Amino acid sequence: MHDGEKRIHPYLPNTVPAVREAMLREIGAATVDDLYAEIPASLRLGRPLDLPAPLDSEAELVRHVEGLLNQNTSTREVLSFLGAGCYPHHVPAVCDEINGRAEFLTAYAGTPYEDHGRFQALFEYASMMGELLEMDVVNVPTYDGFQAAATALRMAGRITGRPRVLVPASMSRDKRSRILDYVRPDLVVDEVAVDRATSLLNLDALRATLDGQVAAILVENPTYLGAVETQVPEIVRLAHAAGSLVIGDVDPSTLGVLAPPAAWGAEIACGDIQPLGMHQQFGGGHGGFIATRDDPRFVAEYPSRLFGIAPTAVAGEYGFGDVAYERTSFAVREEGKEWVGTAASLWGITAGVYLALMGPQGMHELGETMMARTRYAMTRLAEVPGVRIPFAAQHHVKEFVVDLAATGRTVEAVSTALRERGIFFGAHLSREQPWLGQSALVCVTEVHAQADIDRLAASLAEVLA
Amino acid sequence: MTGPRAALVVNPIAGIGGRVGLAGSDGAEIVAEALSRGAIPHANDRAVGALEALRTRWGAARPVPALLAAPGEMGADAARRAGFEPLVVGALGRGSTTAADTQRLAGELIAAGLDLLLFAGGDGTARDICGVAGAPGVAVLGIPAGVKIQSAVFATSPAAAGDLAAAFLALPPGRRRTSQREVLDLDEAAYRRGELAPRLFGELAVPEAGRWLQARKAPSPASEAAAARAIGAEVAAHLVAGTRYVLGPGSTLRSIGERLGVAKTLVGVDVVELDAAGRPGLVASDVGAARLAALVEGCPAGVVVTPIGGQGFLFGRGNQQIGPDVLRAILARSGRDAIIVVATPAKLAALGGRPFLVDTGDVALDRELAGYLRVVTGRSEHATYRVEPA
Amino acid sequence: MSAAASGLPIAQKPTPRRFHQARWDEPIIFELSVPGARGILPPATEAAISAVVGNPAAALPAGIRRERPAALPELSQVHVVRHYDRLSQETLGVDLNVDVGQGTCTMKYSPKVNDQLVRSPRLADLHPLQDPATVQGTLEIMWRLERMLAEISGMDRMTLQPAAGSAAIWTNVSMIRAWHAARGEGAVRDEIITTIFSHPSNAACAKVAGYRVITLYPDVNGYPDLGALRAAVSERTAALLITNPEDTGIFNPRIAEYVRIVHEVGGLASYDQANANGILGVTRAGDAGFDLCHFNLHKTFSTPHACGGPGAGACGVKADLARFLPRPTVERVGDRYVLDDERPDSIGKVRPWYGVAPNLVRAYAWIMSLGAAGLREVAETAVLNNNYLMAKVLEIRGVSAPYAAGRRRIEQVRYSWEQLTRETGVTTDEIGQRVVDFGTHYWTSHHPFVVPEPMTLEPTESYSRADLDEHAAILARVSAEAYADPEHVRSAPHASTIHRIDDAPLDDPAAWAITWRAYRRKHLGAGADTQG
Repeated sequence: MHDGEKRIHPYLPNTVPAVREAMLREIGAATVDDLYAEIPASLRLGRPLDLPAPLDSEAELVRHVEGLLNQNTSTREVLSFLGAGCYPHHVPAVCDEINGRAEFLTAYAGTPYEDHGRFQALFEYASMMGELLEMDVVNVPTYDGFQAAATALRMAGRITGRPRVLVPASMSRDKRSRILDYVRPDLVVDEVAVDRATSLLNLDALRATLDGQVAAILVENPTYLGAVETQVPEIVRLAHAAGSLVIGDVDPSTLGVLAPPAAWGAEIACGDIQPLGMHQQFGGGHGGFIATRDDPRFVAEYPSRLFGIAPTAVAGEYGFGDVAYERTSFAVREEGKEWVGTAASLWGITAGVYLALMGPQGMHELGETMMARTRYAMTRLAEVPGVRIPFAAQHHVKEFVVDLAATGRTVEAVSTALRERGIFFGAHLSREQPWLGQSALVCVTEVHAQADIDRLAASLAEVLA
Repeated sequence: MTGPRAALVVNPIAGIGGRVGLAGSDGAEIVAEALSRGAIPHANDRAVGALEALRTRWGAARPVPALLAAPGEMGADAARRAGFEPLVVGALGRGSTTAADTQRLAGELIAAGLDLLLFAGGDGTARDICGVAGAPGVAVLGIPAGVKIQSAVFATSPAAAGDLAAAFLALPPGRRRTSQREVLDLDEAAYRRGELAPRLFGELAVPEAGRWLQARKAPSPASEAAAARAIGAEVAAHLVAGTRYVLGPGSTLRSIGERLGVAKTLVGVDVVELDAAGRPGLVASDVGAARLAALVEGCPAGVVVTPIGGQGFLFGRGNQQIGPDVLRAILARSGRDAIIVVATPAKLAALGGRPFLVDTGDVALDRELAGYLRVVTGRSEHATYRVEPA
Repeated sequence: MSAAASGLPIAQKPTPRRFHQARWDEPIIFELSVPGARGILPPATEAAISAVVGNPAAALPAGIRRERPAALPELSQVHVVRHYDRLSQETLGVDLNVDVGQGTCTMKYSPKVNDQLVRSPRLADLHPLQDPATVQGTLEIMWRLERMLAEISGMDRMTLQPAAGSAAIWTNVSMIRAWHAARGEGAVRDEIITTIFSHPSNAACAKVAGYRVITLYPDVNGYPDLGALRAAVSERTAALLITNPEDTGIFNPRIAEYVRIVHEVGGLASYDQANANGILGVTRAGDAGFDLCHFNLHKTFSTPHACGGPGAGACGVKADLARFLPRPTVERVGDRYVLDDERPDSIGKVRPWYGVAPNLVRAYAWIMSLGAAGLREVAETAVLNNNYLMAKVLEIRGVSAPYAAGRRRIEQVRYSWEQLTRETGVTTDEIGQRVVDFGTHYWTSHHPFVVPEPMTLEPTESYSRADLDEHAAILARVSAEAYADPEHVRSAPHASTIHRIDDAPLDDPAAWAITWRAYRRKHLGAGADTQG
C-alpha cells in the first residue's frame, strides 16, 4: 500500500464499495449522485474543496497535531500567575476521569429514561451549587459567567419592569462588552465608579445613581481586581431601598470562606464554574451558573433548563425532568423570551464531581489557603523596591493589583523579562483600567506554593534591579 | 373524592334523523317524523361503545373510574350495558326527552362533582351542554352520535372517545390538559333549505391527549392560554389611537379583549375604539351585520379575526356578521394592513400547509382578499400566511 | 455428555436485541454522605506563610465571611468515583448505541484520538492571556480551521468564538444589527424572517435581540412558502435566517431565490448550517448568495456532545461584514499568528476569550483526517444512509414521510405516525417511550408539530448498514406492538433504568424541587433555615 492510494476511512463504515452498491441497489438509485437530485446544478460546487491533503493514518495525524501543540508552552512548564477570569487550580484526577467517560462525553439530549444518569448528575450539580450558594434554584449551566451575568441582568429587568442596570466600573472590559451586546435591546447599562483608594465600589456614586429606574445592581465579589467587596451589606441596603434587585456575581471557589450572595440578601447569584475542576484550556473550560430562591416569579424568568426531581411508578425510584414553567399559571413570559441550546453540561457534571470531592471542609481549606497565599504574595511583592500594592489595605482572595509605576518600567517589558525566567506575570491592566497605569493583576491560588511566590518576588526584584 | 369521576349523559334521539334522510333531530315534529319513517335511535349504542373502549384502555390493574349517569335512556342504561355500576343523578321528566332535560341533567351531574363529562349526541347536544358546562374547569368530551358533528368537541369515534377519556382520567389531576374547542351553531332551518351558515355558539374545555415526557432540546411550548395572552399583548401594543376595531369571535380574541380591559363576548362580534389618547373602550357588543356596517362607516377602522371551525376560515364561518360591506369599507379607508389575523403557532401548524379560506359572500371581495396576510402569533412574533377563496 | 445435550451451539440472538439499561437504583449523592469523609485534600497553608500573614479568612468582617459551612456531601474518593461511574453507565452516549433517533443533532462518532490530543497539557493547561509567542500552535490551528471552514462554506472570514450553535446564531444576529446600524438603518430594520422548520433558536435569538420575528410556514411541498416570503419582506427586513435542508431533510432548490428576494429589499441572508452534514463539498452557503452562516462543530464536525455542551460554534461572513466580527480575531503576520483586539467596528465579545479551544482542535483534527475527498464521502454516506433507512422505515406499518413523496432527502427525514395513531391510538410520544427499551434514542420534532405525530431520524455517516437495519427493526417491532398490544407500548419503558415518571410535580410551584435542598425542605420537612 503506498501513499495516495485510496483506502476505506475508519470513520466511514458504509464506504466499502460492495456495501455501497448493495444499498444503492436496494433503494433503486444508480449512483450516490442520484440522491442529490434535488440540488440544482447552479448550486453545485462542481469541484473538490480546496483543503489540505488528509492524514488518514492516525499516527500521522497525531504527529501533525502534536507538532503544532508542541509550539505552545503550557502553564505546567512555567510558573504562571495569570488569572483575570480564567484560573489555575488543581484539577482532581477524578474530575478528568469522570468527564472522560465515554457515556457522559458522547450523550446529548435523550429523555430522562435512557439518559437518567445525565439528569441525575446535573440535578446533583445544581443541588451542590445550591448548598454553596444557599439558594434553592440553580440552572443547568449556561455558556459562561459572562452570559450568566448578562442573563441575570435581563431577568432582573423583566422581574422589576425597570430599564436601567448598574455594573461596577472595575468590571473586566470583556465582560462588559458581552453584557452590553446582550442586554442592549432591553436595558441601559450604567457604570458605578470605584473608589480609587480602595478599588471597591464608590458608595456615594452608587447613592447618586440609584433611582426608581434601576432594575438591579450587579456586584462582583471578589471584584475583578481581587478585592473582597466588604461594603456588600450597605450596597444591598441601598439597592433595596430604591426597589432594585441585587445580583451577586461570585467566584464559587471562594465560597468556602466568603458569604454567598443569599447571605447578603441578594436575589440572584451568578458566576463561572471554571475554577471547579476545569482545566484552563486556553479559555475553553467555562460554564455559567444562575441561582435564585424558589419564587415562581423568579423561576419563570430563567431561560436555561431547570431539572426537577419527580417520583416514578415504583416507590423509591428517582425520576427527573424539565421544570416546565411555561405551563404554570405564572407563565406570562410574553416579553423577551430567551433561548435554550447546547451550553456547558459536562462542565456542570465536572463541577459536581469537584464539589463532592472537596466537601465542606475542602472548600473551606481551599478558601483559607488561597487567602493566606494571596496575602503572602502581596506582602512579599510589596518588599520589592519600586513595587507598590495599591490596595493592600483591603481583603483579597486569588488576585491583587501590582503597580509598577514607581519602577519606571512598563508591565510589558517586565513581563517579557520574567517570561525569559520561566514566569508568566499577571494580566496587564493598563489598557482596560487606564486609571491603574502600569499595573498587573497577579493571581495566586492553592497551586502556588510558598517557594513559587518567593521565586516571583526574587525574580521581580532581579528584573527591576 | 378519591379516584377520578366521570359522568355520562346521552341524548337518546340524537342522530335519529340521519338514517331516514332528515337533517338533524331538533324539534318534536322532526323526531316524530323520523320515528314514523322507521328510524331506530343509536345514541345509546354509541355511548356503550365508548364506555367499553374506556374500560379496555383503563385496564384491569386498578379499579375503574367512578361513573355518574343521568337516569335511564339518558345515561344509566348505557352505563350498565357497558358493565359499570353508575351512580344515577337526577330524574327524568315526563314524555320524551328534550333539550331542556339534557341541560338540566348535565347541570346536576356537574354539581355532583366530576373530572370529565361525556355526552353522546350531535352538535345540538353539544350546544345544550355548552349552556351549562361552558364555564372553564369542567372538562367535556363528545361521543359522536348525531347527524351533524361539526363541532370540534367530539372524538372521531366512540372508541376514540373512550380511549381519550381513559387516558385523561388516568393522569394525575395536575397533569390533565384541556384546550378550548369551538361549539358551532348551525341554523338547521337554513341548512335544510340548502344554505349553510354556521356560527360560533360557545366553547368547551376538551381533553388534550396527554404528552408524556419527551426529549427536549428546546423549551416546551407555551400553554394555549399563555400563547393567547402573548397574542393579546402584541395586538394591544400595535392598535392605533383614534381607530375603531371590529373584534371577531373566539377565545383568542377574548384574550385580546381582556388585555384591553373590555368585556369582549366569546361568540359575538364586538367593536372597540381607541380614543385619541389610545385608551380602549367598548363601543358595541355582539353586533349584527347591519349595525356593524354603520359603526365602521366614516371613521378609521380595522378588523381582528382568528380562523373559526378548524378548516381555516377567516371570514364566512362563525363570523358572518363581518359582511362584505364592512370589509370593503375598512379596506377602502385603511388598506390590507387593517385586517389583523391572530392565531397561535399550533393553530397554524394544524392547518398542515392548507391556506386560510374566505367566503364573505362577495366573490370579487374574496378574490381581492386572496394572497397573503400578516398573522400575529405571539409577542413580537408574526407569520405571513396564504389566503384563498373558499 | 453428548453434543446434543451440551447446549451448544448457542441459539442465535434475536432481533431486536434484548436490551436492558444499567439500573443501579443509585441514591442522590447527598444520601451517601458520611460526615468527616474526605474526597481530596487541597494543599495546606505552609506554617511559614501563616507566621507572616496569620489567617486572613478568619479576619474577614462578619457579613462577608461565610458563617456556616456549605452543606455539601462528604464522601471518600472511591465513593465519588463509584457514584459517578454508575450514573455514567445509566447514560446512553453515542458510543453505546445506533444513535439515529436524535434527529437534527447529527450524532456521529467523535474520534478518540481527538479526545486524547486535547488532553495534552499544551492545550489543556494554556491560559488565554499568555503571550501569543507562547501559544503559536493553538493560534495556528485556529487560523487554519477558520480557512478550512471558510472554504467549506464559501464565505470569506470566520469566527470561532461562539460557544455553540445558538450562540453562533446570536453572533450573526448581532452582526446583522451592527451592519444596519452602520448604514443608519438600525431603527428601521426591525424585522427578521425565519421558518418554522428552522431551529427555534433562530426565532428566539432574533427576538432576544429586539427584532419582530416573522415565521414562514411550509407550503404543500414542505418548502417555506415563497409567496409568504415575498409578502413578508419590506424596508423593515433586517435579515432572513434559514436552514437548508430544513429539519424535514428536503433540500430547497430555489434557495438562491429566497436570498435574492431578501437582498432586493436591502436585507441580509444568514444560513443556519446545523444541517450541513449531507452537503459538505456539494453545495455552499456562499455560492447561494448568503451573507452569513454558522456551523455547529459538535454536530457536523464531530466534537462530542458532552451531555449538552461544551460544543462550539463557527460563524462565517462575507468580506464586507468582517469588520463586525467578534474580537479578537486571529491574524497571520508574516509567519507569526497574532490576536487582533483593535477592531473598532467589532460587536465585541460574545463569550470570554476566543472560543472553546479543545473543540476547535478536535474539529481541526477531524477535517485533517478526512480531507476534501473524505468530507465528500461523509456527506454522500450520510445521504445514502438516510435514503436507505427511509426506504426501510417506509415499509413499516403506520408511518409515512410527508412532503416530497417519492423524492430523495438529504441527511434526515421527519416522519409521521399519523396513520398508526389513527388506527391504534398510540402516539409518537408513546412510541418513543417504548423505543428506549431497545437501547436507543427517539425524538419527535420541535414545537409546534407541523408534521403530525412526528419522528425525526438522522443516520449520519457513522452507521453501518447493519446498524440501520437494526434501527429499522426496532421501529418495526414497536409498530407491530402498537397494532397488536398497544397497552404494552403505552406502559413502557420496561427495560430502562427507571419506570414511568410522574412529572406532575414539575408543573406545580408548590411541589417542584430543582435542588435537593428544596426537595428536603418541601417534602422531607427539613428546617426552614435552609430556604434560599
